[in-house]
Amino acid sequence: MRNPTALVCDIKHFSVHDGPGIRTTLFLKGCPLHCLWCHNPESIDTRPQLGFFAERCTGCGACAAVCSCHRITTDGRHEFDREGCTACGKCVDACLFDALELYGRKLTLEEAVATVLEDRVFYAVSGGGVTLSGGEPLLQADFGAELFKLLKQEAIDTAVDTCGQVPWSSFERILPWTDRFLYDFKHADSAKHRELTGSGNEQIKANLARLSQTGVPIEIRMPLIPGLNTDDAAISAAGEFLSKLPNITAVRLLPYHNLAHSKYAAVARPDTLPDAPSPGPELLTHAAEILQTHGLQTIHD
Amino acid sequence: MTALWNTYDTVRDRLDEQYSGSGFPADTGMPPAELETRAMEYLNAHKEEPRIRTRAAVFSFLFRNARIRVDAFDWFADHIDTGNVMWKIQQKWRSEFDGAIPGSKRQGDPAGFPTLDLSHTSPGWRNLLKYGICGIRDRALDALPGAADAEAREFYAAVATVYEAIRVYTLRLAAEAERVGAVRVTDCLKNIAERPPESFQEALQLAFLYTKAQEHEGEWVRTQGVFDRLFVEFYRRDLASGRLTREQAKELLAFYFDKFSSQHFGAGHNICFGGKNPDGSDSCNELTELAFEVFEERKNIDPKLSLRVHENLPESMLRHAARCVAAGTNAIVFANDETAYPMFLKHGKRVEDLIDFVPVGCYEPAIMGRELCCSMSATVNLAKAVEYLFEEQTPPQTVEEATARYRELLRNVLDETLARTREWEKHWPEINPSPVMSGTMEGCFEKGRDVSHAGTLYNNSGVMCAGIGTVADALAAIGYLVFGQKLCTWNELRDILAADWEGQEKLRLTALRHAPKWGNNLPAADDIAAEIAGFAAEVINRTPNARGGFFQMGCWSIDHSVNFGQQTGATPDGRKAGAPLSKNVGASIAADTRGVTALFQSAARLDHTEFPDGSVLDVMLHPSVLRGIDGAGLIAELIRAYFRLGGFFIHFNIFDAETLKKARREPEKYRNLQIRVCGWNSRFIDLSPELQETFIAQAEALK
Repeated sequence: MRNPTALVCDIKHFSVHDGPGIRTTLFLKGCPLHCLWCHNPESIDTRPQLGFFAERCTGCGACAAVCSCHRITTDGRHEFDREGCTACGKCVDACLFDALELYGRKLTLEEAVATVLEDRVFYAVSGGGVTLSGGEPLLQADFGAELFKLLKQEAIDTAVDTCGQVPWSSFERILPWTDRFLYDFKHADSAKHRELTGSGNEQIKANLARLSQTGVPIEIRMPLIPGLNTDDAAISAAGEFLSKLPNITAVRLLPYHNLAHSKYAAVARPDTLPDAPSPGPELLTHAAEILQTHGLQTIHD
Repeated sequence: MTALWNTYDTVRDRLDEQYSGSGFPADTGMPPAELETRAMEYLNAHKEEPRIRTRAAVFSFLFRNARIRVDAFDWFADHIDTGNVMWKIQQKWRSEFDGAIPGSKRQGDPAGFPTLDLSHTSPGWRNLLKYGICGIRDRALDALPGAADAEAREFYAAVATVYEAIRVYTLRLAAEAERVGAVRVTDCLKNIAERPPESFQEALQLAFLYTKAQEHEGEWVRTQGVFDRLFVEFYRRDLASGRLTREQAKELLAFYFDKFSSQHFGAGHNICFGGKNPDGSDSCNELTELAFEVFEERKNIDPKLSLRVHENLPESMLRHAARCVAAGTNAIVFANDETAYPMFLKHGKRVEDLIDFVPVGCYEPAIMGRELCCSMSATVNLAKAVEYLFEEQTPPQTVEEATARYRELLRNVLDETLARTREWEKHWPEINPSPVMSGTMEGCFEKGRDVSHAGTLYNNSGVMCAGIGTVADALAAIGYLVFGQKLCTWNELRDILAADWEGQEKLRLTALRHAPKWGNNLPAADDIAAEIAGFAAEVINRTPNARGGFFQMGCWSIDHSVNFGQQTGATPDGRKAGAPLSKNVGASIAADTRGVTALFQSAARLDHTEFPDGSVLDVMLHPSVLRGIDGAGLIAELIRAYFRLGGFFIHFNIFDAETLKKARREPEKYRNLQIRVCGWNSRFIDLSPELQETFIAQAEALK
């Protein structure tokens, strides 16, 4: 029997915004898109990575004692050789100030099952379950499929939160054991989509159309970033496309926030967070109304 | 008649002030100073007579002669200025024994504190409503000729004396009501002075008069009973006869609830709702809903509500209560009948008692009207005994050995504390005989004994054990630092703790961050907590008290997590000297890093049916958790989950650190911010700076 492993950024118990009920969400590492507003930049790269939070570092040198990639300068500053780092994680365990974080730990199937089953009573009382998110979880569809197969034997609800930018075969792998999809929809226009995320949206739209024919319930998740995808035409075009698809349970509007700056710095990724405000209630309501004119159900705070 | 109604909002401020001023008309009776002088003269002239007779006589004198007041705008009357004379007598007699009770062998701050607990009672509301004032007096008079012995004769005579005094007092209130034109209450008072209550208003008025009478006698009333079942027949009858409308009943309840909130009694008054019937069905009724509606609309912190939850509690009722919590009106504790019932049966109660389970005080279980649980008879600082561990010079060889030593130290603390508590209990009849309370309690008439002398059916004594999480963390950290990672030796650790981690910040952070911590669903710490709590329960629950019952273990701390913390030196888990202990069955501050589901699993690792004095878990949630989803539904689901895991009591706080910090800086802008301190609510701005800090630290740990 194969025992696939996953590369995970984080496991979040008591997750209440990633599908129905109380859930455990596994954030898998690696994403084909590079959305400007990504609030999990540590999950984009498909390799393990070290995060360094300079503001929490006291310069104590505990990391330097276990790994030569870390150095404390004579004036007490911390220097980090990111090129040499193999993300072994020793320094993370040594750090006493939460200044170092390992993104991308190997998780075996058994470990994943054990950790998510801890909370089964919470799933039972709330209609919750397990959500695979990321990153793009379908980059690791084999692991997801094996995990969900086991969870379905335990009658646990399963959900995939996907950006859709993967081959259809990845959907096919996991579909038999998936109760619901949370499917991101960022822009209806392909050129604009490429500008915002680094990729056109043809595959995303094709997969969504195909997925909607399978009967599995799909909740659309639409991030709203003022000035980038909130004009009436963009929202209306999204509504137009989505309204033709069956099995769309609702469109959930996710207001943008720019709270992720420190994580970009931590993984030394160029900070692309747009300098945009969080959309206020008027914008959310307005977008919802446009989508509703296309016959779509909407959800927002 | 209609002009009498719809006045609540206009008089609410005056209701809130009703206990603050003096405002007793001088021509209604003697001034408090004169009452006290004459009472003390009486005491001196009757030193040889049984104290129950003396107290009954003084009570009677006070209730016949003290100044009274009736507020014409109120739907209930109860104001009497006894000058707290009964309490002063209690203090005087209590002080006679202060020196007689042997002190702790430990110098400095001891780990166990015995007392005579007169603050946690659950009166016999059924008997009160069934017999009324005269009925109870007559029960005593009827029993008097056949009294089995002198003590029984004194007891019956005392009950007859105090209830006749309450009758006279009620008629005095009625006369005063007539004089000041308080038409809302006049007839009601006249009626309940002479017969059992018939209407909803009469039943509530009698219950409140009784509450104050018992409290004037010297014992706090800490539960108004299984409220919905006690009062629903009165309500139904009034509705059917057209005496009241539903809206008018709500208004009566609002006035009634304000009787409690306006006393500004810190720890609050418990009112219990719901419960599992013998056939498994639920016992909530239309009054349950009515009361929660009033509670939700008033947004007050007192009375505090207890809702009994079980598998068949209707979802709509649970959600109603959860909605209050989600909205910040959270003076609600949820109790699990599915744990309470097996707990009671294990500890000597009968099946027919179960339906009358009430939380007394905060979350201390008792059988209403049949059990005097005295739930804070002793308080124990579990973490203090960790300090004693290091007095032993020979290092232990394993963490198991350290744990075994801790257990023996704890056994000594418990043995000594319980022995001293027993001494106090023996003197109760000489300190505070309680004929008013005894008049309602089951068993007292049959036995001819006052509650102070084990008159009622179940006479137990609660022992609050605080800091179980800190103890588990401390022992787990010993395992990690000394035996697992070998970062220091036993003797080094002793010196480090004695120096409060001075110069050892790295080691302290290592202990804090890497040693296993209670509250994370990790066996390394959870097994220790389960072992220690189980051990304490075994010792406590099988130790007889001095009142014919047993001591009962409670796994909670209330705000002693702060003051016991101040009395406790540094602990091996990285906690500094004086810092708060873990609260109730929760984790040390910020130690529960795996989130609320793991915290629940850890808490449920304890066998809560071994906590006959109760246990409670505090849940703190950041408001963002409830945003964008059905927040009340989530609260309800969390309650269901904890209870399915075997938890006992649970309550919630929902706020963020920023709000609390702002409230500390600008209290005037946050006058309505409620916080669930322990088993009661307070306005955040009224808390001590230490408690405010503790809450902020906890809130900051929320992700």
